Amino acid sequence: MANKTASKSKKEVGFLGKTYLLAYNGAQVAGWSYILYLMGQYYTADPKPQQSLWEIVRTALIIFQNAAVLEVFHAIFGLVSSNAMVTLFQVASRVMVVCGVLIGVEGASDSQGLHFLLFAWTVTEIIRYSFYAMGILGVSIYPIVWCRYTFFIALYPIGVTGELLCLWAASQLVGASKQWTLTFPNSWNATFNYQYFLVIVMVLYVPLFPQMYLHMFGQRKKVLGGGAIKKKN
Amino acid sequence: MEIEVLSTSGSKPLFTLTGLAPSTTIKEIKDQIYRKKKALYPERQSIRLEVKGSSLKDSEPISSFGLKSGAKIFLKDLGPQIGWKTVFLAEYAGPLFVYLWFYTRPWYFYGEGAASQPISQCTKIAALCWSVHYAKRLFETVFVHRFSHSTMPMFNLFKNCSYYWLFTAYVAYHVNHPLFTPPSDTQMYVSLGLFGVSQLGNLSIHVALRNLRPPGTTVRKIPMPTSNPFTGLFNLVSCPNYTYEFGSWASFTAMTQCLPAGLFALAGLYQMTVWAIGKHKLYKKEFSNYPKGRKAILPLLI
Repeated sequence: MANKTASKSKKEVGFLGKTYLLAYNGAQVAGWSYILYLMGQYYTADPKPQQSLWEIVRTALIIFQNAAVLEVFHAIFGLVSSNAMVTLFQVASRVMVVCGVLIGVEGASDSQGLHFLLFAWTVTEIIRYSFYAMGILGVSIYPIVWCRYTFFIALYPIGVTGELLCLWAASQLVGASKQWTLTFPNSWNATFNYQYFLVIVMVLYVPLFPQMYLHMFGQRKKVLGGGAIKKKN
Repeated sequence: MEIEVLSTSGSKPLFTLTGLAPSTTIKEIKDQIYRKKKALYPERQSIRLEVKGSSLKDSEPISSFGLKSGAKIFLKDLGPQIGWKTVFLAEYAGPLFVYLWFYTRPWYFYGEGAASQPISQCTKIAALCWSVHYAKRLFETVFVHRFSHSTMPMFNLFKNCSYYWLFTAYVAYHVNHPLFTPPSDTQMYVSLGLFGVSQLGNLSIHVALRNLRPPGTTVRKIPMPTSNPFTGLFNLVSCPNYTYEFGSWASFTAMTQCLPAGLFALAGLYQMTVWAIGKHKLYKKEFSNYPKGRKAILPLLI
């Protein structure tokens, strides 16, 4: 039953597709586990490391988070059953935070939000990609299914808090530096205010987050509540 | 005869309608349902033969669907409805007011003293064009258009007005800005001419479509060019009204050389293309003799 959520069109996906997806999901599990490992090292290091948490995780985060853009194409080409638009929004928000805020705005990564966001993202992604890999292998490990549909209850709000804190920090910094901002006059009679843009992104969380959160609760009910899940013995 | 009405959500049985005849129309069925449940006024109901089937026409008798006694039909609640005319009037009146409000350069958008800065000829012409466009739309809503459906979902009012009003503010802020830079006079006047042509074209198509449909009916015929030369575009596309509409906004963009106006034109083009492709497909399905070679919205392209 867990397989249904992983890939409805599994019958249509050939051996090559499944191998590719397995490799992709496997690599993501490895990548996010590595990031979690780096975080563990940072928090337990004695004495405190010279580098900031951001400097330590930055390269791995850029690689593995941005790689998720591939998932939009997996959905478009029917390699997975997910809705392409939903996937686009999810990946876009992550890419916006990593590229538009953490890398893009100098000083934004100093925000406390980084800790919340990294914790939520790493744990969520390790479970999520493991769950997908399981689906491809046709295996159902109940604890993983349970975690996938339960941890989000705490991790979504924690992650969103982290993201909003970073977005806010960035908006304040951009307000002062006027970074990526175009003013009048110019021959295209256009303006762009990156600070306003960041604030608009934050405002979008208000309608979009509840929808996604409730959607996951719905999924939880469908998969865990009353469904016949085979527990691995 | 009797017919059972099931809900489209979960196929739950809702009502059993009695005393029906083969000649009973869908409209009469809706009225019966309405009498049983006050919240479900007829405009809110969609009757189908299957959960995801298409809505059955009000005027059709149940015999035309081969429904016998004991048959099941499905009812979908379309949610609170609002009249099309109401929505159109709200969504078109907004842009008229909002644009002219920005034209006065309020200090809270532009800072103190902005209103006393000179206003370029281009800005004035743009304001005139924008106003004429939306005044025309309001006129058409009241006097020209004949609507197939009388209502749409209430949420659309919020969605549509947001789109029109916010985009208006976005474009108006830029074109009316004291530091707005007009393009050359040639570019401006040629574009103005094209804007005018597009407006006349769009109006011509709307009138032609109106005359295609006798009053009070929802009859559908293949649109063809009339004696009005602007309607010649029907030879090339199914929805020349959308073609001319895009023409208007592309011209407005060139006239003001304003990127936000260009974005508005593209957003409109995208939405109209989606609609045009839908209508084009419907025409081809309905009319076996539908002219080949016609595209949906952009001649020779889409």
